[in-house]
Amino acid sequence: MNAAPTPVPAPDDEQPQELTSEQQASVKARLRELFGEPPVEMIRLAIQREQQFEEARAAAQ
Amino acid sequence: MIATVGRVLDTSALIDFATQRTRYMEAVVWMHDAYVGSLVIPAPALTAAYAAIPDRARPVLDVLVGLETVVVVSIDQGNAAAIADTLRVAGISAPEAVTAASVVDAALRRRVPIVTGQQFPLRSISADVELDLIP
Repeated sequence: MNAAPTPVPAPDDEQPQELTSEQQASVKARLRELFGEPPVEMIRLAIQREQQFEEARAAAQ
Repeated sequence: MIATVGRVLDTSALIDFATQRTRYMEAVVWMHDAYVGSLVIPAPALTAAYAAIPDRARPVLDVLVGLETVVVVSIDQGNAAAIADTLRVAGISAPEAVTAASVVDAALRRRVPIVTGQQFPLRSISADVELDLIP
């Protein structure tokens, strides 16, 4: 995966809070339990979309 | 996995996740695994999704709502007027539009895209909101 971690924007009264490694592992475990292995092609598409949004924002500034 | 800026999930996105119509919403959840509350679900959208899915799909939505990366936001005194203003500017008065307006408001407040399977009525409510369309 090739995008750098970016803090999550939120309303002024909400500070981005990073999950612990244990919490991240727990999230992944629950997703695997539901659906099995991650959908690699769809994740690739979602990353492309993210990059398109970033480019559009940069162009708008 | 990577951390990105976040998404607001509307009713169609929640239904897509719960029923596994596609795997795009699953991919969006996998992508957003690093920050508390990076996936935002307005409560009216969650209510509409629970009403629309079969009983066997409810446990799937229960799991999504329970993830640390997900936050459910309510309509309260802090955002009710802004959501109403969004509706008034769009010239929409149908009660169902409150759900769509709460989704748009959540996205604009956080400056993040909405994952959705349908452009309308979101696009008719706001020309500025970013839409991440489910393929």
